[in-house]
Amino acid sequence: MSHESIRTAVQLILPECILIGTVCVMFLTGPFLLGRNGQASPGLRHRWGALALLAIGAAAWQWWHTTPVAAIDGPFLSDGLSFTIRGIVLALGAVLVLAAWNQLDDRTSAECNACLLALLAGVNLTAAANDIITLFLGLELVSIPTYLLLYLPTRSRPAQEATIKYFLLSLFSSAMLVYGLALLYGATGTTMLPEIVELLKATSLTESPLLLIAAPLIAAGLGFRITAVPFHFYAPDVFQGVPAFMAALLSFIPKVVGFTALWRLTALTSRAAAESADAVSTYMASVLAVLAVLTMFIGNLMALRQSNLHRLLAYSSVAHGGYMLVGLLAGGGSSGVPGGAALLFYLAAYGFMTIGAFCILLAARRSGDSIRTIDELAGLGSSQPLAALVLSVFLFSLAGLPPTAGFLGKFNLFLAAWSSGVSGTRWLAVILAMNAAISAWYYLRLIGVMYLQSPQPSTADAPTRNLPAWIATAVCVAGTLGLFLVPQAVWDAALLATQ
Amino acid sequence: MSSFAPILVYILVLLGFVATNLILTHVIGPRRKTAVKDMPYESGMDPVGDARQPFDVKFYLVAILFLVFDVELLFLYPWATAAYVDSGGVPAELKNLMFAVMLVFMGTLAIAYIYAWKHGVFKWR
Amino acid sequence: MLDLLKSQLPTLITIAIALGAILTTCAYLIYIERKISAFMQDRVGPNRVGPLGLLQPLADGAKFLLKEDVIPGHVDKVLYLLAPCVAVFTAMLAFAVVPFGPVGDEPSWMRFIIAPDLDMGMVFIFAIGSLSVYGVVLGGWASNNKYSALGSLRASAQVVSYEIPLGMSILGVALVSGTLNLEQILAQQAKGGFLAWNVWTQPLACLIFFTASLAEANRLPFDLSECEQELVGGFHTEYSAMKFALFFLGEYTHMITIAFLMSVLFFGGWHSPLATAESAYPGAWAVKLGVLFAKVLLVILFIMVIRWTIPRFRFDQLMGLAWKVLIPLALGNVIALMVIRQFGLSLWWSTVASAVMFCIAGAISTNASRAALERARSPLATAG
Repeated sequence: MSHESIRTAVQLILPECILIGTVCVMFLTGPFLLGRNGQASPGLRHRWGALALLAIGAAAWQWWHTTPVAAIDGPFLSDGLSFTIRGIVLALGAVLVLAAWNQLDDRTSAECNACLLALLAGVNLTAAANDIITLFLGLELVSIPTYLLLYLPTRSRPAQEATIKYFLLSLFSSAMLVYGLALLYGATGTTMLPEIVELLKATSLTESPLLLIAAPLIAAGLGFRITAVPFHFYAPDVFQGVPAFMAALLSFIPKVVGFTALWRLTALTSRAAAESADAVSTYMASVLAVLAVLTMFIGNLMALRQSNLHRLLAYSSVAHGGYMLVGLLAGGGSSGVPGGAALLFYLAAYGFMTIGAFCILLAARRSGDSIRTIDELAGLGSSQPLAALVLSVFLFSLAGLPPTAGFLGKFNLFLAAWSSGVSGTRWLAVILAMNAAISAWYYLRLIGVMYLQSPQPSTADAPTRNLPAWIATAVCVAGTLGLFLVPQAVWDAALLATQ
Repeated sequence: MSSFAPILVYILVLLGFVATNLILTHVIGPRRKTAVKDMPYESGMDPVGDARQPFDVKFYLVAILFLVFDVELLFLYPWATAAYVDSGGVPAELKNLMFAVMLVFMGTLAIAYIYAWKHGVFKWR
Repeated sequence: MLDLLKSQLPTLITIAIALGAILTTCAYLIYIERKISAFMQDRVGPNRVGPLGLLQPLADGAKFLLKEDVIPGHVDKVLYLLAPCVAVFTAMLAFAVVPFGPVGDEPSWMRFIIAPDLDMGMVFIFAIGSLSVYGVVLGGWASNNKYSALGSLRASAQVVSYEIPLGMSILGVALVSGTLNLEQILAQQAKGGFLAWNVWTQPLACLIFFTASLAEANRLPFDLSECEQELVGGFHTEYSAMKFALFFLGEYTHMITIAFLMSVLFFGGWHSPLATAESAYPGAWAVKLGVLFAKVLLVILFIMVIRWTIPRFRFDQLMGLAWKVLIPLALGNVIALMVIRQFGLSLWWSTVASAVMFCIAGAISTNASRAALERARSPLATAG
């Protein structure tokens, strides 16, 4: 690595530097704005929320003025993938800040907003990583603020249980990942991702048996983040215990980092990339295909039985992880729709619809911190028609029905899997379609509950006002519908990433 | 590596020294066990309860902070020995960059330190 | 095999000499300490065994070996036996990289350092030194005694806290010398002459290092882990005979190591006007050895005088001193030296910086303690 590349490295991560700088400011000034006994003046959270939005705006401005360039030999790169992921994450990060706005305590809002920003910076760093060390660093910069965010806002027993569960399992998965990456380094002798990818394409398993241990460890570590099936079991309990904005965050952010990291290590997973018949990716692709099928089926079938909305959306998030895995496995096929682009487009669409769903549950609540059970939804169509309509849009999108982004996203995934030319992905496409049909049942049932059942007597009191959550919801509605009506810009960006 | 050989020899000698001491005192000294000698010494009172009790969470906080600072120190040692030597250290064209990087590094540490102080981590009631 | 043994022959001789010297010195340090305490408290001190009580250490040693070795029934036997071994083992191992004489001038069959040319000398000492807390923690835990448990808990918090300023104060020296090798640090000071002693340019680092070392060694005023008035014996309440002596030996070895480090790092080691780096007259090495030992003895005596002069800290004061005073000062010292080296300023600016930081810290703490005192004096005002 030359001196020049160290110098230019900082330029490549300017948006993240802005975010991290704001985090430092927040942590530094936060404690000084509290009173002697740690109490805060009411309304302090508005200031911190505004500062967080400002920082995201500045980072987005910086992002907009970068142009994707081909890979260099530094620790970071700024190619199409990192450009697209940054855009998606900054936009949805702003939505998350809005969603969190009124769920935060004035006392801890500085720390919570700082953690949110740090976490967004972590996602972007993962996307910009050109080196397994920076990749791991980015992943940890996502995990560690997540623990704090789980712990800080609420002190209820379910929240504590969720925190501990997520904390221990996430640590465990990080440990597996770092062992896997260390072995990968041992097998290839370099930490630079492009070199690793080139080496892995040509290396067969018999030449380097270390990979046989490294690949499953990495897949397991990242599988936790994308809630692939054997590693999904924490999701429902955690989603149920935490505040709605955290559930929204957990359904989206870990998936983005997980899939980005898997993409960067594509030589481990993509059968299309393999040059040697015995390469590790041929095995891993088969394993991941099995995981994808299991993830889709188990996620959807379990979601059928849920009466708690957070749990239902957790299993829905598991199932969506499976759909996206199909896109990853379809890979950059030579003909038709590239699987990678379909995956990225789906990530954007999924972000808007799942975060939107949690936001509207948050915005339309009457008591507690959000709407949590299906029973509370009964009669929403007559008591809060707007909220019911908005939720229906998101549910349509999650089910993959037009006129929403979810439809285009699933359609792209299906086409990518069907046309990729990689053996076996056609079966995945068929299974994906089947699962979309299964999932439609439980999403549409919710709409039925909202419009066909009569409201419960206890829900008569007026909903609490939560303007930021409504703004977040509006953004998500715009995104969900916009990605269907004018998808070209996002699709172009996604295509750019696959080149 | 050969500069470690004396240390290995020294370790062996020390192990021998320690073992000899323990064995000698065990063999030479008299042994008369009584019930009172077998009890924990609590200034003459009969002991109540177990000595292994949960302790204050403060100690964990100190341990965590120690980890942060100690790992930071380990990063500083190689820098301190290589930063300003005439030959074989940091190349001249990187000196300014290194200076900036170290300032940022210590700055982040200082932020964490101020944060902890302000939140009363160093206060022992 | 024979070659290997032959090559390590000077090492073995050195170890034998060093170990013997340490043991004897430790024994006599205890004697000196008792005499000093007696002098300061207007008593006589040990005077029965031999002339002036000079044979007292021998009698003590024999007693340690011949007394009953009690292993109480309630202890965790393996850890209980392991603890004193760890304590003395780590303390003595840390001595391996300390040059206890003018390295290079010695006769060929021995050396004035057990492990020469170890580039990470100071890191080795810190690494081994931090292991010594295991002796205390294991001892306290294995004893299954409340006094011991409290003592070891305090000791662990104290040792880990003071480890940070200790390590940080050395960074300044490393920045100036560009090495952590003790022989080279010493050689550079000797080459530069009297004014090159690190203590002149880094008085603050010297003070921090000394204070933190005292705490690391659990010496009074930092002996919270074994304060007799509250905790009987602290972590070694349940220890007797030679196992007790091993803890003692570890502590005094630690003190000797500290004294050597102080002399070597900050006071120019064997360098003095009597014998400089250039002086080559016969017997120069003996003079250098004598000078170094004199410096070491002075430091040790100073430590002992402190013990009988300054009262023990309270635990919150102890932790406050480490975290709120020593660490910021040490960090400030590092940054000051870093700036000086970066911009090629004269090293004497470091003295100025030390003085300024010392005064600022003094002003802040005086102010803070005065405010606290006033709050304490008028409880009604704060209650209202």
